[in-house]
Amino acid sequence: MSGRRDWWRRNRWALAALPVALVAALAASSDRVATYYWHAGLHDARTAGHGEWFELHDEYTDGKGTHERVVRVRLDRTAVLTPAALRQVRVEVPSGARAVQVTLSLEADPDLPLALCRLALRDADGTRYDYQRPGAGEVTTARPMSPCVPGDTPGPSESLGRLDEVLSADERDPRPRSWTVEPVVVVPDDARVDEVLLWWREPVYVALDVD
Amino acid sequence: MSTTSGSGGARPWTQRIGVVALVLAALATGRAITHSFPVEGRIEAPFVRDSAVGEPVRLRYADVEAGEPAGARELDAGGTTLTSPGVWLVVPVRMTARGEPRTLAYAAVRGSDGTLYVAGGFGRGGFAPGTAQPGVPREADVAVELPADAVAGAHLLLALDPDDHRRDDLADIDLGLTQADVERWTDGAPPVTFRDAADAGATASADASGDGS
Amino acid sequence: MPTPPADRRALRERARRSGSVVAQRLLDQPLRNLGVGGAVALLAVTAAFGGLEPAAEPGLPAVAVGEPVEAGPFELTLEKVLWVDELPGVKPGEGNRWLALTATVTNTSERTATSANLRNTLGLTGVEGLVEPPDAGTDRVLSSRRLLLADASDLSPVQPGLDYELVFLFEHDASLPPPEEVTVQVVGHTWRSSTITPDVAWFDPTVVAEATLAMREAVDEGGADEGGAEEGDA
Repeated sequence: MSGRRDWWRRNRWALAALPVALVAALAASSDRVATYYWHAGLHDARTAGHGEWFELHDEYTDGKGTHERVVRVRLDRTAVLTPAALRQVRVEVPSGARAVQVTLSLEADPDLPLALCRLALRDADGTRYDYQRPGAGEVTTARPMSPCVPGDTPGPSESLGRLDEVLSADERDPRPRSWTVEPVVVVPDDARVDEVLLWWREPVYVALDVD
Repeated sequence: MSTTSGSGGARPWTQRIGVVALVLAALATGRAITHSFPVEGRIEAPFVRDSAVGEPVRLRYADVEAGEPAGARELDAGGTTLTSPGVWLVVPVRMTARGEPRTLAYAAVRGSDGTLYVAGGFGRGGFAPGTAQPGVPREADVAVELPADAVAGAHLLLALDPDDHRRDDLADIDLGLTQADVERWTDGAPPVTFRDAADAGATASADASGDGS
Repeated sequence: MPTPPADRRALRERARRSGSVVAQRLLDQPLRNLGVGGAVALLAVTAAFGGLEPAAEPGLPAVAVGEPVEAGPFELTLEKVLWVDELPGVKPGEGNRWLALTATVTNTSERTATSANLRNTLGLTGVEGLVEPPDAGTDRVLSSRRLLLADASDLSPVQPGLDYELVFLFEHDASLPPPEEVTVQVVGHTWRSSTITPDVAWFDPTVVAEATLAMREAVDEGGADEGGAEEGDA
């Protein structure tokens, strides 16, 4: 009937706009996806091949505003520690698990706050094995407070704005421009580690291939 | 097709009444539906996984298993003895994280009276397992004091978040306790021990004999 | 300011054309009527939210030693009102003493209560020399510690259905003479959801009982008691 065709013709622009409107409506009500999903986990992968240097460009916000964070990192090697080596580095490993030492080389500006980082190993199934910080009295070279900066010269902390004046100054030497860290991560015996993950601010993380 | 009114709002009053009646009917139907089917509680309810002592239960975030409960009027916690006006109940729990490291933060005993006796994160007794690495089992005790007459038939509840259990897994473990157990515990039983959390089978590195693992 | 006649007419015309019955009704009313009608409507709405309930009566019941007081979530029975220079294993700060109120407390609700809930339940007013500042927005000072008498542990959490015998400890400046009497306030709370967040907790601290009680030094009741206990042991 011409009536029906008339209807289609009269409403053609509205119909064309309908899918656009639908997408816009979904997008408008999905602001929580960013907060509760994207920023609440590791979703922005920056991958690097085995043995390659990777330069990470990210931002961070502290008491003094937003700054750039540029770090270069390379996975040198991962090695399972023998019982003798375990005794030497004074790491305890429960039965059914083993200790993997991760050797990383990093380069960054000595003024860049980097101590608040997290390190993990990830296997082919996507299971993540985190580096676990030791308790206050249990810090060793193999279990440092921070897995990505040297224990004696960790470098600056992120600014706390006006609180900086109240805190006592860090009198340690500045961090060198390039350094190596060797934290130890405990994983179950049957884990097949695929990648080393390093991150400062979710969702951005660096994934370094193990093989 | 109804004529749209021009100037002056000349719709017949019967139509206006009809519209009002339809709107009221829609509102009333909506209210009747939401009130006869109380979905609030069910939409937000946790997914309860039942189990018993010695039976591992698979939760989204971890596999957990409760061991044999023990009890007494006194609790030995790290060298300090804590006395309860009721009974101390200690349940050993073994948990293996799944997917990523997990810190279980909720443990409670549901007494036979239906009351939830929640274990604190600190203070007297409680549940503080720390972070469990996936694949590496971790052992921790749950220690809760409760009135003696609520112990027989008590269940242990375990969950990840300390407050919010909506739409996530929650373990409900029947502890298999009887009045006989309660009487044994309140009749001069020695203090029950509350151990610190640790990885299962943790060995002191100094004594580690190379077992080729 | 009343709208000028010409504008009012234009307004009514627009309202009528819009077909909105409500607009027409409002605009056809002389403003005086609207005032009264609006006031009645407002009162009616307030009534639906409990605004017309009688205001709380003045005058609080007295809290007497040995009598239980309902102070949600607890039932509290005061036992002794004492001061002491030191308690074994529990030291006050340098140059301070303890004011100690012993009580039996039962959590009569169906939820585990926290140490903060317990702390908020008993306070002292009108006592010079208390080290801690008053609770924000009130003139009562809350206890620094709450210890179970049986084992001197800090009572946390407070489980339902158990009768805890405990002592509320308040730090007092020892350079001042110990008070001869203290005003004790027992505070009850209501279990409700917060008006701002989705949390549910014990809110609305309200003094449910108050009394001025004599305070004496804690003296070791040895001698006669010990003799009695030895006889009793079989």
